[in-house]
Amino acid sequence: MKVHFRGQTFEFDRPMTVQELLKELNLSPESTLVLRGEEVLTEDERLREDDEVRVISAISGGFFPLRG
Amino acid sequence: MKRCLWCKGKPVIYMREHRLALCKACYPKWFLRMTERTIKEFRMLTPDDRILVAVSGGKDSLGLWFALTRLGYEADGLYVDLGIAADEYSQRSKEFAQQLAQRLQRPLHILSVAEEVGKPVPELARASERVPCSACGAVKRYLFNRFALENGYTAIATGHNLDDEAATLLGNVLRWQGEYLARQAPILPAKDGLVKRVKPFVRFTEKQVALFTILSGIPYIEQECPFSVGAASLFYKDLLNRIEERSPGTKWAFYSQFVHKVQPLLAGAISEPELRPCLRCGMPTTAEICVVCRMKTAAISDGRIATGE
Repeated sequence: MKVHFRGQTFEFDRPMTVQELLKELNLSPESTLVLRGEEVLTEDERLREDDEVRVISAISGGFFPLRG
Repeated sequence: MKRCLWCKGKPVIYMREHRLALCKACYPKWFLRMTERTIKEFRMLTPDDRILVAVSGGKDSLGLWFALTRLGYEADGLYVDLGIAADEYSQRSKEFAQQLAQRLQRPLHILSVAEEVGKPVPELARASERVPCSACGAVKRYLFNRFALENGYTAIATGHNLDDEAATLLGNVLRWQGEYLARQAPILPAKDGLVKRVKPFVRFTEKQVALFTILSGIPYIEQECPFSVGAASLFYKDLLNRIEERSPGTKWAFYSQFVHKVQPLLAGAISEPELRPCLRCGMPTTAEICVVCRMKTAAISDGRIATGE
């Protein structure tokens, strides 16, 4: 399966769940979305070997602002 | 496999903290309902408010502008062009903001830091010897407030989410920053030349906001600001997410219990610094000359040095 994340493409040659994929990429499911085409996948979704998915990190941030 | 709690369709998200799975049709409805509930709970907005949304081109601010409009609020956008040339970051961000303005058929005002303060943010930071994000934050707060005052807006809405607020809270607690803690609230009422500031997305995690924005068909800049690499806030967010994985609901409990139980005590005990008009521009400040006017001076001096004047 092909996985696009932050301008890079990763390849995996075995089926796995979204949760397992995120673990492989060392990403938190709390801050990550996985899309197959337009379809948003939940963590228990099973990915096939011929799938192509896009991983989106939802986390953004800047300098620690130290204010309200 | 879990099913959508509302319609039994295929879910797009399972929110452990709510024990709630929702599908792509039901999730945006839930999200808008929660946004309205948050606005009401904290009495953020009234029907008479003229709202200015601080729009950056990212998922949070664009999602917020869209959500407020869907909820029936008349909200306009203000985009501040920071002049970050790396990867065409500012140019691309602005285009995403303009796309949504066109879709919403709402005005998008645009201000340029280079035109307003003398230099784009990266150069301004260097000239004033500040880290870029510090200079950026100060200039943005100043320009949003001044623009709102000059144009009759009564509320500035920002897209700060639960991850932003919990990370800020953690950082402030780790350093026991009493003054900052006393002011960390989902709503900062208007006072002494400062327009009311509200954060209607404080109930949502970044992932929830990203999902709403994506399902609403809103393109946004996914790339992070080039200056945010290695920022402490990202580290704190990661730590909090690791706790959340083990103990769902902790982020909200941490933040909401602070807001309800601790912040009011601190706000009553710690007197806020007195604000007075800046001697140069008249905007509220705790010093004689506000931070942005001081940065302007530094930018002019830096220009003289650069040109050998």
